[in-house]
Amino acid sequence: MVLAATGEAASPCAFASLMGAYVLRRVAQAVPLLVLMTMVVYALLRATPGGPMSMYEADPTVTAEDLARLRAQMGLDQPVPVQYGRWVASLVAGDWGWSFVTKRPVLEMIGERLPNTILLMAVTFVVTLAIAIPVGILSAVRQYSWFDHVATTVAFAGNSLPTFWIGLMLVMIFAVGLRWLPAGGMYTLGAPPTIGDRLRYLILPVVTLSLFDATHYIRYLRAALLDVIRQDYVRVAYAKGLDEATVIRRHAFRNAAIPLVTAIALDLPALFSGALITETIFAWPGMGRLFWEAASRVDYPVLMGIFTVASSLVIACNLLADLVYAWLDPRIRYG
Amino acid sequence: MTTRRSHWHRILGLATAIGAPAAFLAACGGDTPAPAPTKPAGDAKAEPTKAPAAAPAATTAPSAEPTKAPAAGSPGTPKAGGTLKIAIYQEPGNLNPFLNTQTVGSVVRNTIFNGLVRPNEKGEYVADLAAEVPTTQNGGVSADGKTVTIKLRKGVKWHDGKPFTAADVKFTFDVIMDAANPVTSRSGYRDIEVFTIKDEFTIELKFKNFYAPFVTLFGAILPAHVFGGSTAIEKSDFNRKPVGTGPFKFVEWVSGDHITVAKNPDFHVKGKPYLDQVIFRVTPSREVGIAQLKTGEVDVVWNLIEAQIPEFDGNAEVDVWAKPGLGVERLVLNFSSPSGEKAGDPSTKHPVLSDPKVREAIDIGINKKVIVDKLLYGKTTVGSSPLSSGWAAPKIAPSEYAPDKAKKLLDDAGWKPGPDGVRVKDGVKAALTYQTTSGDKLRELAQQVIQEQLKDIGIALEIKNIPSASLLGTWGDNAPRAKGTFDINMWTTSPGIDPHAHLYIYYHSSQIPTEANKGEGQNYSRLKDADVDKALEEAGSVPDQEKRKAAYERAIKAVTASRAHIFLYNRLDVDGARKYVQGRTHNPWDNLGWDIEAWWLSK
Amino acid sequence: MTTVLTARPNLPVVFASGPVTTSPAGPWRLAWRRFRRHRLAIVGMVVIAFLASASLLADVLSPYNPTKTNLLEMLDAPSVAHPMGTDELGRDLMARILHGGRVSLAVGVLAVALAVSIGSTVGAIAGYRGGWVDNLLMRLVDFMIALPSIFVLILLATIYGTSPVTLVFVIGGLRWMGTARQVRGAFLALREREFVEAARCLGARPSRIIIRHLLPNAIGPIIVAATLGISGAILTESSLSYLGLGIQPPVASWGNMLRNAQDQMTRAPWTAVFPGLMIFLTVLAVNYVGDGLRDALDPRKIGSR
Repeated sequence: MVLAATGEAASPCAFASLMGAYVLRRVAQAVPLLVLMTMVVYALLRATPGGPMSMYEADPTVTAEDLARLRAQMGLDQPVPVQYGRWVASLVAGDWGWSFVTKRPVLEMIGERLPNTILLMAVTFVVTLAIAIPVGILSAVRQYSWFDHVATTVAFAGNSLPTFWIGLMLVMIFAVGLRWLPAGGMYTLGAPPTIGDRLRYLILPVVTLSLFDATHYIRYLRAALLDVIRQDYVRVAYAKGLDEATVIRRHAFRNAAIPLVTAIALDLPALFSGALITETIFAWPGMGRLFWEAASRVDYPVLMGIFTVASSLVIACNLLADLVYAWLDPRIRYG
Repeated sequence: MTTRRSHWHRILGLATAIGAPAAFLAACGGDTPAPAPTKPAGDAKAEPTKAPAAAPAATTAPSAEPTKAPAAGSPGTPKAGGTLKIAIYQEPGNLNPFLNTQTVGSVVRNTIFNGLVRPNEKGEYVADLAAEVPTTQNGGVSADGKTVTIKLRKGVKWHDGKPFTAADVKFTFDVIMDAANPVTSRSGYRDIEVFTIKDEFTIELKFKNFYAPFVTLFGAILPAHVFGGSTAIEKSDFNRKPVGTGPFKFVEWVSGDHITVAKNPDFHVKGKPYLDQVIFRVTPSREVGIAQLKTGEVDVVWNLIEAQIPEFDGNAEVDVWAKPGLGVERLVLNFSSPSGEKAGDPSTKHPVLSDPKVREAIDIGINKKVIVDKLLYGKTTVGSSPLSSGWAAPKIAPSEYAPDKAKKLLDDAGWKPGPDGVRVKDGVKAALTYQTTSGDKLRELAQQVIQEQLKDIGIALEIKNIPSASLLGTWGDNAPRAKGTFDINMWTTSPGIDPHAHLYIYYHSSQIPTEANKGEGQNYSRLKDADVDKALEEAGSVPDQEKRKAAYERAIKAVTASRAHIFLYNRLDVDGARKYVQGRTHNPWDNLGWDIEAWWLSK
Repeated sequence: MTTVLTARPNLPVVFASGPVTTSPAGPWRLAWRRFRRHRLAIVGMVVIAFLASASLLADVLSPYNPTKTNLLEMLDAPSVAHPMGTDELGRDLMARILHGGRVSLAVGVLAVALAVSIGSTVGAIAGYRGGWVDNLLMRLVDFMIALPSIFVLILLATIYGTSPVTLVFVIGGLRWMGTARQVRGAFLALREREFVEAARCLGARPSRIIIRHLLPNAIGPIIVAATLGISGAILTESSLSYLGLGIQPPVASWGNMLRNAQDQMTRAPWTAVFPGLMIFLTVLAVNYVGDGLRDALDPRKIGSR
């Protein structure tokens, strides 16, 4: 994959109209994809043994008559395809359904968790890139130097332990042991909200996630930069007498960033679906935990809602990735 | 998911008001006398006081509290004020008492709601919002038992200041009976033929038939005025922002994070509660709650498992509250065919477990004592009966561990060891699946020990755990337990104060879930034993408590002899708390926080 | 966590630069020469070989039965009798580490083997055929990518249970899309090349062209991705264990051992240290080998020094 220095796109106008048509076509393709996805997930959900009625098992006052009534009230007495059809019909009408357990609108429940997840993931994202970009560049520029070796080793090590293990260790050491930081939650309960307090609660989960994520971007960037540095135009730039920092900044990094940006765009959906395990360890009330709770209570409407949101985001971000890629690399044609 | 006991489950009992006065001894007293209040409740500010920020560092100093609260009476004089943080590892779906059966829901609701009558720590019903517990003696229950008159406590205010009256009880009844409402259960309520408001503070219930556990009805009351008279509750804001009459008022609920309630200055027990505020912190697991208890981010962790007790060995800051509960961990053996077209049909036979010798061998082939001593650190006792305590609990010695006898039993019954050590009879291998709820470490450990012990006597178990929602599901969910598509299950269940309903639904032959009865009942073993049936029917029909007790003993002895359930160990109710949390009493019949108004902090 | 469990879709990237002849000794020897220069990759190879053979020889190396409980020796510290101590049921930890290694390594390797087989097949067919076949298969890939994989993973583990075999299918079945895209990309670029044209003119059947001519030229990136995939699969298994959806007891895997150690970390740190160390070493070693292979097999790297 040889990436030429960014040239001029054919003509901005033609580009825009081509792109518009392309986006439209991609969106049109995405719709059946989404429908198929919801069908498959619905079928999968209904194939799981057990079901929402299990929440009543401990209660001997709930009789078979009560259960039959509850099933009917939840619409579970209908054939599965009919239930699916109803779900789709109300979704199209803008109604995402109501949770079996909380008796609340699914969209409202997702809406409560999404900001928490976005906060955690956005901070993680910034921290990750703040580490990955300088380290990745230095590693590439000083390939096989001691810095490169140390950075590579640390990056590999961070990527070699299960996240849950890193998280648990951090809690053991910094919360239970040293008591420097809180073990979990988003802020001190019953205390006035301050930014400092919020930050204290962010440190451990963000470190856990960044340690893992940074590795990927460091390696991505290092490889991409190494690729670019060997290209003729970079050699030409050096030959022109430009200093290294300028060459890297003006020429090499800009081109090496193309695969990085694409990779980032593809990772974006994860920002919304949350980090299930990290959220679980640090009691962070995000989307991942919402899913886990809904899954353990077999709350079909909530599960379907989360799947639909998450899949739409994946599809959207894939499209975004392709667009960014095309925009950065004009040799790609919308065929 | 270990002790899935709902509030209802615990207090449910067929308490025959005519014949079981034991349950009503404390009937007239109202609440237990409160210690002298240090501060007049009426003077308390209506708005919650701000809690001091709990800096984790501040809690590192060892607690100065030397003694441990023995029971209801706490050392020193209760001190008013302070914020208590309780970690709960599940989040209630909602806080409407009639739309939620989770135990954790009951724990939170204990702070907000009152019912008419509730059980105290001795298993006696005491008046709460009722002025007294209705009995035949005090004229509350008619001679035929079909008419119950309940006098209500006067001067009780809802959290918004409106008075509590008979209209609220009637409204609660209407809500439960509204066909459009997905209330969890109408048991008992549907037996009420006429509900009459006699006056502002008296109601009369006319039952179609004698309904023995009437005293358990109306375990919570809804405020009629909040709903503006509409009984459609399913999508009401109330489910998330409840208004009650309890010691604490609802303040806020941040999903997945916490639920806050603040002192109700108008609580009907003067001088209580002591605490200014209670915050329930939702944690994703017990382990996370334990970490937060250790750091001091929470003061109490609700519902630990026995195996977690040693986590706090040598911890000077934390007390572990471990008391015998009512749950009994058990193996449930399937007598019917676990597969094929007629799976679970009581007319079919399980290829292995239908042989009583095999069942007996399994029972005596398990060393329950070593499980209790080692996996539960000797904190509890070996199980021998579905009733571990209470007035009806029979004294039954646990079966002795006798692996050699087990082997001989199997040999004699024609189960001969095959080449791989697993016994075979008529081409059928003594190989069984063994399921419990996945992700439960104590159960997994016990499973592995049992698996090995039974391997020694030539019975092979394959562990195939599934999530509790799958294992414990219902007939309509095709759950293996209900459908009879299992070999051996393991879980806990617990009886109520009156054990009748519990014993009946688990062991009476009419309670085998089948296509014909649409899955009614919980006789998952498919036990059909005429002696059990007869004894249970007798116990349900005679009013004399001694006779009932004897009949239950006969039933239980027949059940243990059948090994439909093999009782492993009696479970403990375990909660963890920092040492400065005072005033709490353990009540096996209710959940943590049933007496939250008496709690205080000695820090 | 998301990163482990999210299938990372790769962009279509064309790797191979020149045709590989049917006698591949030359390029392979070159690759080996390049690989050898990556010292850490060699160390990684040695570590993996060591761990794999230790696991295979578990019965010889440890006299203990990994599932034999001994409640009198619960949580014993490491000693001469039990070099790694015992676990919460008094089982010898070293025996469990060795036997658990079989499961963890096998799940990792087989899941990736499955993923690579599916991915290469789909990618090869799509890339070689093009047209509607390509379109259809790529929509399938899109579909798989659109599934939020951690959620699907949890659902599947719930439905189909968590025996090692089902875990291989579940993990492998959700991780093949990247390979498919890579192979397709490589094939799209290669299939118009002269040597393929030549083979086609000589009347070679498509399957022969794919297997003899195209795959060898696209194999480098596949091997690299596969190697790195193994570490991802091992971590995924341990993460599922954390959620209680990993390998069922009494079978040991490094993941479920690590999860069980959670409750006793302060009392018996060895139960946590050893399985953690094993996962760490294995994944680290695999990553280094993958890195070395990338340097060796990715022809773009020629002349990089």
